[in-house]
Amino acid sequence: MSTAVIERIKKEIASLEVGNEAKEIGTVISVADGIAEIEGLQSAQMMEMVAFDTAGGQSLKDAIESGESPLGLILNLEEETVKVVILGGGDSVKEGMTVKRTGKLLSIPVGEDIVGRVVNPLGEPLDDRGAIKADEDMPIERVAFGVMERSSVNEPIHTGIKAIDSMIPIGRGQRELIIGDRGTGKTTIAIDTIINQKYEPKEKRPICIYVAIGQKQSKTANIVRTLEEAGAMEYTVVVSTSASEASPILFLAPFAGVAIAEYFMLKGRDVVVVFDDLSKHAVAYRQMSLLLRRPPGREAYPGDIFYLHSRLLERSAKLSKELGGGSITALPIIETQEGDVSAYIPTNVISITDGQIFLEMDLFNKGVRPALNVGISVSRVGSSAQTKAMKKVAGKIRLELAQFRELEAFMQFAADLDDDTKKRIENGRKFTELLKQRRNQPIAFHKQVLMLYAANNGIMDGAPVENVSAIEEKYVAFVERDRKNLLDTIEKEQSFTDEDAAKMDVAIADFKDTHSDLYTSK
Amino acid sequence: MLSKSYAIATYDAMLDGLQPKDVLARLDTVLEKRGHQKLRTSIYAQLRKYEALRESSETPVVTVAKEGDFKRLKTAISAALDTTGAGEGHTKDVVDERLTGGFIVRHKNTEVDASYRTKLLSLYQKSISY
Repeated sequence: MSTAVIERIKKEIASLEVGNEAKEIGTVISVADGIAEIEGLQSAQMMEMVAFDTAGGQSLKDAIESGESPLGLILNLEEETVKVVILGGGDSVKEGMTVKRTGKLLSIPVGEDIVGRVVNPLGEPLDDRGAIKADEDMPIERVAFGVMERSSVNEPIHTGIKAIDSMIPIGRGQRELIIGDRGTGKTTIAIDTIINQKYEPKEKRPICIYVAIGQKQSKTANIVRTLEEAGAMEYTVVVSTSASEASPILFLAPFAGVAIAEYFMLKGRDVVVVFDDLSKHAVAYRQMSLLLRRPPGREAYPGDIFYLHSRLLERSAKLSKELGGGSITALPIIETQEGDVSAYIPTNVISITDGQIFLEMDLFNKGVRPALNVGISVSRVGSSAQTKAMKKVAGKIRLELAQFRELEAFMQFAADLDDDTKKRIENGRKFTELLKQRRNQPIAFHKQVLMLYAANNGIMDGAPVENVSAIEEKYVAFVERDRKNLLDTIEKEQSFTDEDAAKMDVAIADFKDTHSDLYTSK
Repeated sequence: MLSKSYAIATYDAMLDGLQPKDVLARLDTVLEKRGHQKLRTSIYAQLRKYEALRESSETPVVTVAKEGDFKRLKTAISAALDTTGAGEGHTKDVVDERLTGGFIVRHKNTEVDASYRTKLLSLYQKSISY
């Protein structure tokens, strides 16, 4: 034990006072399914923490051995009683037990040391790396910042995914929903976004928070390992709740994530929070509400299911300069069944967020990965959240792909089409191929700009579709090797001049000359 | 749920001043009329629970670790009784050596916990979190 810790304990002992403070208490009258009904506690507040006095009736030695008293969260205030969800260690709560008010609303201890750690929604570490030094207790529930305290979203979050950064750009402070069936790559998009932040300069790099809600522990462990291998855990916090945990803990998880995010946002930092996924969150809230005997509504969800997600997501914001200019960007994930985006929870969250990224199973099975349907995906912030460089190159792709989608139905008759239509189809197929990307390999935005400029200016002309990936890989390596200052300029200035454009045209021509093998069919 | 509703209604009737014997007789009549005789046992169990809760909350309870502490801590206990709204009057005195030292005063829904056990436990839990 370090000297500092010993000194702290000495101070605690010296200031130990056996006080005379009266506290309001209650008595447990029933316990079932993780919900305790308590009589007394007349002045208790909604969302207040209470402590179950498991030490009552035990000696000091037994009380120490039985561990910390479980806490509860007041969620129902009724006429004669209050209903409390037990947070962990519910087996030790018995009928007749005394319950004490803490006077505190539920909060999570947060500090700089939480970055790089895996925690549960109560802030307790799960990664066996010791206690986390906390600077502050952040409230789990909090009113979102008002209109006048915010500023407009105008700075990009680069996901490293070409299709998103070019056509569905996300800004710092935006809420962008990722929606699709199981196994379509929703979590992959979120993880790639987190990994891609390592390309941001340290002073502007956002803190990333991945909230696993009711996920398999093996999946969360894989994600943590992927982030560690990519060097992303240095700036990431993982809030983990597994599928085997009680519904109140799953209910708290995303709120804990956004409370941690607010700590950093209020210090002027940018934060990205991934909620994976809110469908499971809704199910957990439904379960908890039914156990609390709240009246069920549509699909047995409680009446305030919309408010649950709206108050969570409204806490994402871009703050004004006066408040430090920090931001929280939310990437909530929703899982659909059979592509049904008109179901209850998906439509709720779609109406709350500032855009959605649709992933389709058909596209995934055809090998288009990420399986984004760019036609129906949208970002309501749009090009306000794009760098000047990306704005210059991204406009044409959307148009090409839109025309390609219209003509796709005619592809089976390709032999009977006019040359112009055949060319559009060919271009569309090449752009679709260009937008494919390997998993967990995000691409820095300046390389994306380089490649998209080249694609718009003829680098794919004359090449068969199957060579597009190879052309992309080799062209970027070609420019990195021989014209690195061009890439550095785009990265630093986040734009390019006509002079830079001319240099890129020359690079394209040189590349085509030196790599003619890529322009012949096999 | 139904037996609890019956129990609450019956207990409220008793608290309103009606004789318990009368109230229970009327309860039996109602149960027979509605065909709910099977709930009688659980209703009576609930009523016993409510009565036990009421009794325990009416009389202030003073718990100390050693017999001699009632006298030694008289001033502090008296102040605690005032804080809980119990004031002067009859108290139920309990000796529980598991408190280690100090006292606990409980009256209705208010408690003053000045026991050494609680403070030492809190100190221990803070220490292990460092």
